[in-house]
Amino acid sequence: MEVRKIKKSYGRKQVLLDVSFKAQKGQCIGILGGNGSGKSTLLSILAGVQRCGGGEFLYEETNMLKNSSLRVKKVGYVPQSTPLLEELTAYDNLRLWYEKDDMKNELATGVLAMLGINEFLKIPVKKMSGGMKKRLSIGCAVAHRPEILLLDEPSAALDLLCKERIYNYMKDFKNLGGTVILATHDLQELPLCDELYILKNGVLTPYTFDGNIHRLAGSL
Amino acid sequence: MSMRKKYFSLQLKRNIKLYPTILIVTVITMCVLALGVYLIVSETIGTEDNQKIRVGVVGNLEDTTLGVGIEAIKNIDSSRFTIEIREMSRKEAEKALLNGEIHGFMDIPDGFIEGVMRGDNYPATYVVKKGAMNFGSIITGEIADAVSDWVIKSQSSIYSMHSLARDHGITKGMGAKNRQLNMEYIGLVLSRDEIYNIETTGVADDLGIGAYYLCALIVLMLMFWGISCFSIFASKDMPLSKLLASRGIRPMHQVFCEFLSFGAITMITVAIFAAVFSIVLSNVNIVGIEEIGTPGVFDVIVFVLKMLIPVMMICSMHVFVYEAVPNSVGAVLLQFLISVGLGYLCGCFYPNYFFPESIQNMASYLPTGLGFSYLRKCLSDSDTTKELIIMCAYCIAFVTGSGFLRKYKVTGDSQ
Repeated sequence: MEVRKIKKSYGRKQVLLDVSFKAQKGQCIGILGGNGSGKSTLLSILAGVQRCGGGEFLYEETNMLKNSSLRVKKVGYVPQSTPLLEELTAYDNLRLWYEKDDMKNELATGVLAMLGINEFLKIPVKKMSGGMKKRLSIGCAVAHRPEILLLDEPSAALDLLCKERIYNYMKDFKNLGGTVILATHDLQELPLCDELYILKNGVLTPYTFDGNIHRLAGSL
Repeated sequence: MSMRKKYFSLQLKRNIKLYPTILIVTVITMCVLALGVYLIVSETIGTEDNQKIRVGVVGNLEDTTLGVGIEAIKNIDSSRFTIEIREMSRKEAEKALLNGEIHGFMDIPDGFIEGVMRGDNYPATYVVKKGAMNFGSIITGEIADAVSDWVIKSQSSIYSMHSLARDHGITKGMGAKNRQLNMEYIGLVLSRDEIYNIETTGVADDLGIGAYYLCALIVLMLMFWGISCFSIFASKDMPLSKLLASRGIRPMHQVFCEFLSFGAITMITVAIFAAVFSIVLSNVNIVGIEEIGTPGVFDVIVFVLKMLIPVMMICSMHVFVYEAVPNSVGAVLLQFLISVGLGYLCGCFYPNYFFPESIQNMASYLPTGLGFSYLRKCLSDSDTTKELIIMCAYCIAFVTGSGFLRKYKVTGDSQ
């Protein structure tokens, strides 16, 4: 897949200036940036939630910004906050995205089992921990077996065990040939990424992390 | 099942889970409103036995005989302890009647006294509110008493005159003259078998005050329902909308599913309250709502079906308000202000005849005004086509507007 010259502005403020990058199947692309740098905007444009001022999102030579039916099939999107109905149980929320039989299989041996959703299937979302909600969100977002997964700060404010579960799922997703685009602040997530980019002042530039946190912080 | 249907059914399930809380708030709101309506209605029609009956007199009051008569009733007649007479113009009397300041008024036509003198029939007209028909029957009784008294005393005077003439030695032909006088008198009395009419005037659309305020109560309930359902809209968040949008369910479709599910539970509530109200009506005699009678199961079903369009219109308005105001507290406050403001303008708290005509006209095209007018016309079996068409247009406008607002929020606020 290739992202080519994506532009976005809010009024006079240019948020994204010709953002471009490429990713192969099985790769994870990490996008780093400070608060308000435009990471979430970029992901929501690629997910088809927001419109951009120009550019292309190519998958097998097809621009998915123009072909929404292909984008809906191929792209999974996990927004920063949890996209769940708080009053309903995990089961009810999953029912929105899964057919009954598919959900049964996924809970037994598939992605939902891997994310450990069986443990809290009957609990209302409002009584869940942050980690449970995030795992459930990912479970909802990948119901249609996407080939590209857009994750917006997936492990923010989660405990280590929960992060571990999400990372394991991401590794598994990559191993099965999926492409992950990850917007993150979390240093723990950097080893998962095959390529890193920094988004600053609307410009996306490649970055190589050498373990020097101070240098990274200065770059953001 | 398509994702839109699933989203609708999940929203419905969510609303049902929130329903007990909503219902408790609604019952409390309804009790407060019903108490208010009861106080208004009882003040107007419920205390006639304990108060003086205030009657307006309008028409040509310059005639001396009539003036003396009114003064006599005001100051001398025993009825002054039960009836208070107020002289006023027809316009003032109509306003005072609607305002509840008088119980009815008597319109005396020009030439009334001369007609009485000549034996011609110039009926005086008593105007009362439809909801105050009891007053009409009181007046009827009073008139019957007055006429009886008049007949008896007139007869006495005829015979007294006969007796006086005899005492003064005038006897020649007195028997024949006395008989002739009696015959003429009987002829005059009999020709006035319709000496008065009773006209009724409804508060609006020919409805009595009880039915009027029942319609007002329903409209206000639907308006305040938006506040009761705060919990449905409060926890609505954008991430789900974004995820749905990324999966091809556009903001307009999301809003439509949410609106339908909200409309569905509102209709369920209307059906429950209609059923409860019909049971109450069949067991308790509620004075002043003659238009309804004792509704049966069929009537309740018809009522609920008739409520579909106004319910959907007001629900769409609530959806729009919650969509337009991102802050939950602000949205509830706005809902309250809209409910009270529109309710007041459209006459739900008090008949709006006292507003300038331009405001009355404007109010009749506001959502509450249309809903109110529709309900009144349903009760008085009038044509409701105009109201139904405009309410449908409002409904479409609110839902479409909400869809655009959602789209703006989904596509515009993430950074």
